[in-house]
Order: sequence, then C-alpha cells, then structure tokens
Amino acid sequence: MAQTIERMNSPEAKKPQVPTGPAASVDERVLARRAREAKKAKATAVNEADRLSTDIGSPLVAPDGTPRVVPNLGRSVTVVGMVTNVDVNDGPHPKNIRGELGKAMNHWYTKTVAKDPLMRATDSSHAADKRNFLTSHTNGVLKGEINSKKPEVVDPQALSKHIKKVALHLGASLVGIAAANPAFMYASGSRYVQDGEAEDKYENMSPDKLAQRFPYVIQTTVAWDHDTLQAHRHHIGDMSYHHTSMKNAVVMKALEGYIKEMGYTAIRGAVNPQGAGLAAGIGELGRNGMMISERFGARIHMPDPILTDMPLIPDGPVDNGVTDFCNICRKCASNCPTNSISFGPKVIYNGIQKYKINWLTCYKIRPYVADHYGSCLTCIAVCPFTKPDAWWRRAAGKVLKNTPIKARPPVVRAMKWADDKFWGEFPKRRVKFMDYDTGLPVGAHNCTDHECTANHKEPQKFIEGNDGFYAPVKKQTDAFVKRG
Amino acid sequence: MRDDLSRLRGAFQAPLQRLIGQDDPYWDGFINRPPSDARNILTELMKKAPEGNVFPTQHELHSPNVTAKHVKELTTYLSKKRAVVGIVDLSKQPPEIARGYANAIVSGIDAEYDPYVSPGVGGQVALQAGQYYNWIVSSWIREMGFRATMKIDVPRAEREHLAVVAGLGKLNGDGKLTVPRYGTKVHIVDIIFTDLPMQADG
Repeated sequence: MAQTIERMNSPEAKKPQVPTGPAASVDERVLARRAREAKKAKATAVNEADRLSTDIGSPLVAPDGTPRVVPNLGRSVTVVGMVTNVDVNDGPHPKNIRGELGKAMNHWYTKTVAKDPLMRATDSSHAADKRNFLTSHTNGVLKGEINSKKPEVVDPQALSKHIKKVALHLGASLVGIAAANPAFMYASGSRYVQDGEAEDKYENMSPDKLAQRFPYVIQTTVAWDHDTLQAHRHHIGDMSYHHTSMKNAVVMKALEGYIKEMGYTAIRGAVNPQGAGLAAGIGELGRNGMMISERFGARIHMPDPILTDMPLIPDGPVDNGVTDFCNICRKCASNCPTNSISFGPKVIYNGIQKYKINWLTCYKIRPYVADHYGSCLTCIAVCPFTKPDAWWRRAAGKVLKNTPIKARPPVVRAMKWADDKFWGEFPKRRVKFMDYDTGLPVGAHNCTDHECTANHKEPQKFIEGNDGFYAPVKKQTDAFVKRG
Repeated sequence: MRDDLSRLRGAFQAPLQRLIGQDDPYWDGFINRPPSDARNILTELMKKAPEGNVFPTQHELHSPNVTAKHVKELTTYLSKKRAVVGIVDLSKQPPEIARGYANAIVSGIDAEYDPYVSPGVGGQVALQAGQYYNWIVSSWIREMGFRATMKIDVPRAEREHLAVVAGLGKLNGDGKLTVPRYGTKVHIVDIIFTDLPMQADG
C-alpha cells in the first residue's frame, strides 16, 4: 500500500520539528557542511526544508504522525509537497508485462527474440536463452548467512572510507552514501526483484520503519564507454548501455555479499535509485530525466542501491551546475526523436519539483525500431556533460561548479556554443565496433572490413567519411508522436 | 616504449596502492579473510551458474582473421582495456588439453592480489572481472550458433601453458608466467573452449 507524506495542520506539527529517526544519526559536521553549502547556493533543498519546517503548517509528517525530514536532494530536485511513495510495479516494464500498454508493446517485450547475437547475449527481454544473460544469474539473491562476527572496532568514518574504496576496487566508477529517507523508498510491500525470490522478513515494513531500521543507502555507478555511446540509436550504443548495466549488477552484488560478510544486513530493491543517487551526491537530475555526474555526465547507470545498517557517514548532494545548464541548453529536447523531453521549466509532480520527461512516448518507440537498436540513448549521448573523462572536461566542470550561481548563465551560454561548434548541434558521429558500423545506411548489413576475405551474401561496402546514419529520423517518428 | 612505460607505471602503482591501503583497518580482511559463507561470494555464484544453449542457426561469419580480431576487441572492450587476449589452435594440442574443441580463447587480467592465495572478496576481484567479460564473450559465441564454454576446470599450470602458446607471455626462471604489460601480476582467467573459426596467435 502506498504510503503518503502529508502536511499536518495540528498545533504540534506547526512547531519547528527536531529531526528524529534516520536523519538524527547524520554526523553533525555533515549537517553543518550541508547548511553552509545551502547558504552558499541560496536555493537548495536544505533551505527549502528549513523554511518548510519553520513555516506554520509546513512540517512533513507520515500518516501515522511520525515527523519526517525533507530529504536534501540538491538544487536539481526539490521536495515541495506531498510525496506518494512509488510502487515499483507502476514502472514501464511491469506495466508492459501486464499488458497495460497494448498488445504490440507486450508482444515486443515478452515474446520477441533479437536478430542480433550480441543483443541476444546482453538484453534479457530479447534473449533466446536467458541463461546466456549474465544478470539472470547475478540478480539471484545471495542466500548466504550474515557473518556473526562484526569488526572489533567500529568506526563509521573509517567504515565509510573503506566501503567506498571497496566499491571502487570491485569495479565501480563512482560511489556515494546517503542517509535513508522514507521519501525515496518504494511503497511498502513492493520490491524491485527480477527473480522473484527476494522475500525477507523486512519486505512488508513501511518506508518509515525501513529507514529507521536501515539508516544508510549505498549507491554506486559504472560509467559507460564514451566512444561507443556516441553510436546512439544503434546496436553499438546498446552494447555500451547493456554491458555497463551488467557490470553494475556484478559490482553491487559483490558489495552486498561483502557487507554480509562484515556482519551487517544488506537489503536490495527497496530504494528508488535516483533519489538515493541525488542524496548521495552521485550527480544531479537533468532535463533528460537522467542523473548527470561531474566526471562522466549522463553516461552512468543508477542501479538498485543497497540499504544497510552498517554505521556510515552519509555524503550530501552536489551542485555541478546541471540545473543552470539545463535551464538554457535544451539540446536533449531538440534531439529527442520522440519529443519526449520538455522544452519548458521544471514541473511539480508527486510533490517533487523537477524536469519530467514523457516516459510513455519514449518507451513506445522501441518495438518500431527493434531491428536497429534496443535503447535510444540520444539524450544521453548529445548531453554537453557527456564527454570523455579528460583534463579539459574536468577543467570545464570545475569552472562551472565554482562560478557563483547568478553568474552562471553567460558561462553556460559560452559552453553550449562551444559544444555545438565542436561536437555538433545534432551529433551523428560515425562509430565502428566489431562488425558494426554506423557509417552504413540504416538496415544495411554489408561487411566494411578491408581485411575480410569471406564470401558474404551481401557485397562488401567501403564507405568514406565520418558521418553516421541513425534510425529513426524525425519524419519516421512523426507518424505516431505528435510534435509540439 | 609503451610496454616499458606500462611496466614502470605498474612498478610504482602497486606499492603506492598498498601504502594507501595501510590506513584502512578493514582492508586486510577484505583481501585475505575467507568468507564465512561461500554463498555470499559472487564468484562462487557465477561458478555454479548454468550456461545457456547454442542458438540453432549459425550467424554469417567474417574470415577467421577478422573473427579473431572481433573476439579480441570485445574482450578488451568489456575489460576496459585491462585484458590481454590470445587465440590457441587446439588441433595442435594433445587431446586431453583440446577436450574436443577447435580453439581456445586465453586471456589474462592484471591482478594486484593473486586470487589463488587471497581468498577474501577483494582478493578474488581479478577472478570476478574475468568471469564477467568471459561470460559475455562465451554467450555471444553461443548466440552466434557455435559451441563455447568457460565451465571447464583447467588447472593453473595448464592455463599458463596455453597463455604461453597464445603468445601472451613467457614462463620466467621461477616458472611464473610473465606478460610484458603486467609482469607476474597477471591472472589467467577461465579459458573459453569454442568451435568458432578463428585465426590462432603464435
């Protein structure tokens, strides 16, 4: 049953609330640092939270009267009102599996096998044999017992540092820790499980109780390869996306096992990954609805986070200038083949102020393009933040980050101009990977390798130039997506 | 020159990382403490995971030299350019090594900690990384319609013999495998036995 955060108008609730529950265990220094950052930013969610908690009638409380702390999610996402906890079964894939998006969509998702062998090996919903798909095995629940021997010395600061180092050693690109908050838990009784075996004694706990029992969330991410991602709307881009998704699953599963080995509980499938990622400082939410990190831009996954009772020190959200950039840029919106990304300002949805995409039109294109690609990725590939992790990229990021907020618009305009100039307003770079080549017209399957001496069915074709072909072009999608 | 620089970097990197690890009171347990329950370890879960079927129709192939190039490209890509890869023609090997397959894909990955002597979760990281990319490569070959398995338990000495045959490196005076890029800090991951036609390395 969905849990709802409600404003309570009783006299008790009108008094400023002292944070209790999960946020009370947050280190004082972290709170002080957050407050300093918030003051500097002048508009962060902490300020918003302070204002809400001191305004008459504003404190947020759970239906059972438990006071809740407004989570600090940074400048890109602000909690401004009632938040209904999301039921994981209301996501696009579960809806589609239940047939709520129509027969064509359901048939494509549940009954089609990909024509491309690499897609069959890396995309679970279109595999010929799911046992060939790595995550079918890694998503299984680790059945091991929690080690009864905890470390002799429990130092949250050292443990936090250690767990981050462990995640990086296991293959993560970024790692952050957030204080658990009921606002970004899934509705009670709903868990994100792919093998249906996650039943545990905490499954029916309410978000509030879960956040009290397990006060910390660990979120990691593995960055996608930049060069292959440039082949968006192509099987090459799919490869970049799918393989890092699997890699992330491996990293998180190994980390989950290690936390159990250290003597602590690790719960999966209970926390919304984006909320945890924002609170843990992995990145900020962009106009394209993706997390945008300082080092890798939008080319990161938000896997299912780990909820744990291991004593840790949470990180705070970051301000990388994503909000200021997205206010001006709109490159993802103008490149989106289905017009699913808004050109307008942030909207308030479910009590949260953020950029919101139209997921339905984004999702519905997939069956029509299944022969060419599985995931579009255009909004991620064209995002000016998505660049190689090079010195010039880091320098540009630092400039934006360290510019005062009021002075950022001209800096953003200059950066956007440079991005359009050097990377193109509508990027369509030619990318070669194995026997895939975006230089071939859409639908062609000719061999383009000079060294190949095989007798192919289609004649070999050697194409010059650096421009790639990407399916579909806008006029093809106009048939079923109304443009504004 | 590039190999020399890599060796130089490797020589400095390992002690520096070890030095950083010294201020972490939990690091030694992460690397060396055997798991209290093997079911908590991903590498054990992966060892027991069953492989899928071979796709019923064969994919149109390129010439063996290009197919070998694609296999190496995929392996290198999935390992984030950490793996060194070679192909062995098993028809030139004794039957007990060939095990009825035509080719073997042999790859090694840098191993700061040797998985054979470091039983902790962290000590098994090289093994885990190898399992990850080998699983995808072997699945891809099966999905192309050719037999491929990484589930054959090959002893360490035999793996290193195949690595030498594949041209990945040489055995030094102590009998340890040494590859130009990583020296002796290399772990030869599970061998993929396959029928996919490829040009072998020497």
